[in-house]
Amino acid sequence: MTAAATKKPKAKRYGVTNRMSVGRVLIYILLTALGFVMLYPMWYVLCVSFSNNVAMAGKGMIFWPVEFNLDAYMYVLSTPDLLNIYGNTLFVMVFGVLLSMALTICAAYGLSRKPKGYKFATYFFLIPMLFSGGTIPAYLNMRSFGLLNSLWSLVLCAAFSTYNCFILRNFFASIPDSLMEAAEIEGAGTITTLVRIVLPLSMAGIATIALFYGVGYWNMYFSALIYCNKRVNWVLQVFLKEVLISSSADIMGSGADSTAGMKTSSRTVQMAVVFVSVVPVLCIYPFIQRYFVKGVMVGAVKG
Amino acid sequence: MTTETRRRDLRRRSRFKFNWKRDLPLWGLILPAMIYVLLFRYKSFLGIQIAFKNYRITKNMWDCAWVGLKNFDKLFGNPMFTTVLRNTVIISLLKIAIGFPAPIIVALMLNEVRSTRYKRALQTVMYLPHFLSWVVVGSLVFMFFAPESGVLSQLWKSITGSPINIMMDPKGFRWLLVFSDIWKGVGWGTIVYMAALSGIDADLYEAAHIDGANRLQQVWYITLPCLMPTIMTMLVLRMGGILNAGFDQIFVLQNDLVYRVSEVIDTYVYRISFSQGQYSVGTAADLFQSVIGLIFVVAANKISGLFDQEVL
Repeated sequence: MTAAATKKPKAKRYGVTNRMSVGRVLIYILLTALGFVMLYPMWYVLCVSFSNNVAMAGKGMIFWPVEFNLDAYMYVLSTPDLLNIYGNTLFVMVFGVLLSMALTICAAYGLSRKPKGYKFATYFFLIPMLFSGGTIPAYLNMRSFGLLNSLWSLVLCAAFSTYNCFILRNFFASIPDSLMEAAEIEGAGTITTLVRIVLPLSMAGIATIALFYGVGYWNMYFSALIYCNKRVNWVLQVFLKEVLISSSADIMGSGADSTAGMKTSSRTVQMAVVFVSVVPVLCIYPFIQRYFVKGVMVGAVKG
Repeated sequence: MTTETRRRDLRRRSRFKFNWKRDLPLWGLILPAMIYVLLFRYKSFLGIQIAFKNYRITKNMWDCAWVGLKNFDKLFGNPMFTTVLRNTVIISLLKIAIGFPAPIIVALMLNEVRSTRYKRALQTVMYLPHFLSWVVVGSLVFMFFAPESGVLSQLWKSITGSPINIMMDPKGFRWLLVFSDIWKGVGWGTIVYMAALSGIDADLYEAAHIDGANRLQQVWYITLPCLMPTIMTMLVLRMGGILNAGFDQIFVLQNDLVYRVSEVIDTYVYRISFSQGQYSVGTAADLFQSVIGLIFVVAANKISGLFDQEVL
């Protein structure tokens, strides 16, 4: 067998040669380094939260927890407010996602079928995306509904995103018309067609958009800061920010320190709070990740 | 007339008339979202009037007296606003200049990875920071860059012997903003380019290979030109948000020592409204930002014809 004969099929398969050149090795190294830079901070947070605060300050910590223990988590989980704050955040996320998905799916489907005059609706949705009244008018508007300091203000302030709606509309539009026409000829109504034909075919797009909304609600900070700044209505991000900036004040309000040497200001406790707040995102993300690459591609690129 | 043309003709004609049976349910589906947008977006436009009024938070905005452009005079007359405006533009231009090419380069590099499994693993890791909130990312930044206890600050001190304090250094802080922004967004930014890369015809590479082009030449003469439309689209969209430097990030990372180099319109509006009670001036600043943003978007749209082709 000659060298040319062995090389040829490879070249044909990839359209290019596939040998490991110096350049490619360099690219592998760079990308691996980049991946490390992305992952390491999160790993570090985890390690700090499991470490002993005093020992860590003395020895320094690089890659593994120093004197592994769960004290920080014990302390965080014993915070009386935490359950309430977690509940608030969950409430906002669950109702937010339900409401926004209902609004977005319906509007996206309606637009994708192009009823007479649909362009009016498109512009109607587009204008607030291009020009917003700003923070204060939105705040005053929320106040005029009497929703300030109610968790519903957080649910409602982000319940519809024109951008997400257009992505989903493009996703729906990529489904062949003939499928829906066939269903309608068989006597299916608009809703039946949507539920029975379109939704099952669009799970990738729907999962993607639901993830976008869910993460948006979970990570909501600015709106929570202006609409819901009473302590009873705190959501996780506001609480986390308070924990991070509190150096001496005991923001967790657990009174006398139950665990010796534990303070809110201690690094281990702060990082335990950080980790507790990202756990839900870390849990959901890998399952939806395989969908959203596809979802974003069809929705955004094919247009 | 064939059945096909007759059907097309029928469909075209039906488009001019409102078909009650077909169009009404569809409008019924669109309507809830329209009501929502009307109540929570359009209705809030009414609040813009306080930019031209002397507004007190205790009073109803309709009862306040008109003052013309006095709030704008107050805003532009304040030297702090000039600083704020300059910060906003500088920070957002820095983010565009460095943060915009970054995902393109990373996507090109990812494209060279032949092992699908490794590529997917890299992508999973790189997308992840996008899903963390700025408060979380801010806490990571504190963790690594805090003056005494930060990991990187300590490392720097042990290597060079001199302490570094990038979080409180007016010169370094903007770079901290730019690079933390890149850290969070670079992986996510590659998605759209990866999609465009996967659409490039493999025959082009083969032809170039036969003509003797090496890999670098192929990237330069094939990949980049094929990516150009996507790159331009993304750039135009990015330019539209030139006055949005990002509230959450700056608000979380900011401190008094770097206030003068990092205060941007969003944080300024928040501060003068909710901390100082000057809601009218805050709204004037808001309105200024929205109008400039709109001008940029419309101009960018004119240049690219984007909305005709892709969004609408």
